Amino acid sequence: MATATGAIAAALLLGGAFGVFRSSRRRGRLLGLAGVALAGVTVTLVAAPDLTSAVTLGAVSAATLTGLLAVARVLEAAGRRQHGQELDLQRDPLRWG
Amino acid sequence: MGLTLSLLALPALGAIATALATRRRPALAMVVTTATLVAGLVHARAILTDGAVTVVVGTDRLAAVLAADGLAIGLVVLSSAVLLAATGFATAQRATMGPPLASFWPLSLVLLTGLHGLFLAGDLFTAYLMLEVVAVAGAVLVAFGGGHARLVAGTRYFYAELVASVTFLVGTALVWSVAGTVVIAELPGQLTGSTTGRVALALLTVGLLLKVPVVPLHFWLPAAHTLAPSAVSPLLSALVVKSAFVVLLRLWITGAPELTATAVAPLVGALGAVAILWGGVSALRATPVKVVVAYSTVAQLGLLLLAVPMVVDGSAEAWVGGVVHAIAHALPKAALLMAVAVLAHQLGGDSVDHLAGAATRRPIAAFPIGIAAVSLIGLPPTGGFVAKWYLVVASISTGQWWWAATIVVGSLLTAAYLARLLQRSFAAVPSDAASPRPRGRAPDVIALTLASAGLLLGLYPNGLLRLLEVGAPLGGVAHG
Repeated sequence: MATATGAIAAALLLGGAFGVFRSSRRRGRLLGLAGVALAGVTVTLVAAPDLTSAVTLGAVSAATLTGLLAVARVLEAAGRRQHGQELDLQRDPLRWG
Repeated sequence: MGLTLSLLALPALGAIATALATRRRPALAMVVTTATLVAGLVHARAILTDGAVTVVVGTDRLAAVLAADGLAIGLVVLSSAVLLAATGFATAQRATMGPPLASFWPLSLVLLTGLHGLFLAGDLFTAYLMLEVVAVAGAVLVAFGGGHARLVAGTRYFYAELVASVTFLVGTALVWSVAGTVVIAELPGQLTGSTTGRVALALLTVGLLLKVPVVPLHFWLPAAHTLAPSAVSPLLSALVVKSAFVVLLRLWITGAPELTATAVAPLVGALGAVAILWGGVSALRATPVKVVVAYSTVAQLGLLLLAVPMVVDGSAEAWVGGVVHAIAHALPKAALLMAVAVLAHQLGGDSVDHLAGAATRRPIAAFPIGIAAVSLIGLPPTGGFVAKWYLVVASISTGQWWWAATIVVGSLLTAAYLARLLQRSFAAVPSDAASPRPRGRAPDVIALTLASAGLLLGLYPNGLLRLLEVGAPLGGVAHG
């Protein structure tokens, strides 16, 4: 059970991180972030030593990660609003910044 | 307990107050930051007399632990002082900061709250929450002022921080499942004995190394530090990058001292050596002055990591050298970033060539570059020299002489890329140079004050060294 959860969490974390850093599309990045966040919450829930801790820590982790996803959406939306197109994070901003 | 909590409560309440205020935000921010600085100094005096303090907030199982030792309080005082300078700088630079200036004051105080929380964090879950606070405030401050490039840099920075935070969170959860606690002081001997514990340590370490960041995980740093507004870059380069390092140091030295017997510590040291060389060469090749300074930060962070293998070998000198470097680097680096921002604005460009004749045209703004260079290279009598002295002594006393050689090569590279700035500053004023834009002297004086503070740290290091001995895991070192 623990091994299976660990494998799923690792896949979510690595796959999510790949999506975040390699995708040139907003949707891909946010999906990657959601995967990364899900990995965090899953492991927190499974690893907590008792039910009370699992519920409390799971809630705190979920709340903070949801907040961070909201900030990510705001940043992405600001890019689209200001320039009429999605941010391309693959291009080095120092080249034209 | 109240004094320790005030180090978090004052900036947090100040952030709310400055967000709600409709006028006089800069004055309010300066009052709050000054009050936080005073609270930090009073706390420093208290622990020098009574010893380190551990504060537990909350119920038994879900308590937050704050460890107010010399390292934490020294960094709290440093961060309050640098933010006070940055607040003054932002006020004086208001014309060039862009329209949404109002959000700078509350965000910078949120950042200070997160930094203080990280420096004081005695458990991994508090550290995780504070890492999130610093990530959000830092990224929004980078994107602050708008523009496509800043937005891209800020978003990349935020995503890197977020992935690092979740990696850290997963590691924290695994630590809890193995040890039944996330209090760092209760972890020795509990993690390295099992595969899950070792995976937890690895995840925590990778998350923190991405946040520091260390080469090759530094991809987000140069753009974020270069493109951030001029009052924000000093906060990032001087303070934010140190916060994750402090957590790493506590985790390794206090939480898993048995790591001495593993090959991981030399690997971290090797990453530090690569950062010193890579950062130094990249700074040497860069043309925009802020990019030079950003890569200089990558290199100087390598010096912090270099201390790790010697510290886990039990060297008190390495501990002191690393921590003094974290503090001594902050002051000249903040001064350097402020000075180059002032000169870029006044002389009409941000490349090294635009500095031509700066020493003649704007001497007060150019002077901090010289003082900061002396400190960053590590020449006497500066704080940088004190740090490198202890690191070199540690490398010889532990028989790890190759770190001393790396420090020497790194110092030569630092001298080479900073000499480029100084050489251009003292060059003849170009015949076609436009007159410097008229402006007040306040930003120049703030940069000069910070640079001079770095110098004073070298002239009078005993107070800092005594403070760092309070609660130090490896004891103190001989000093005058």
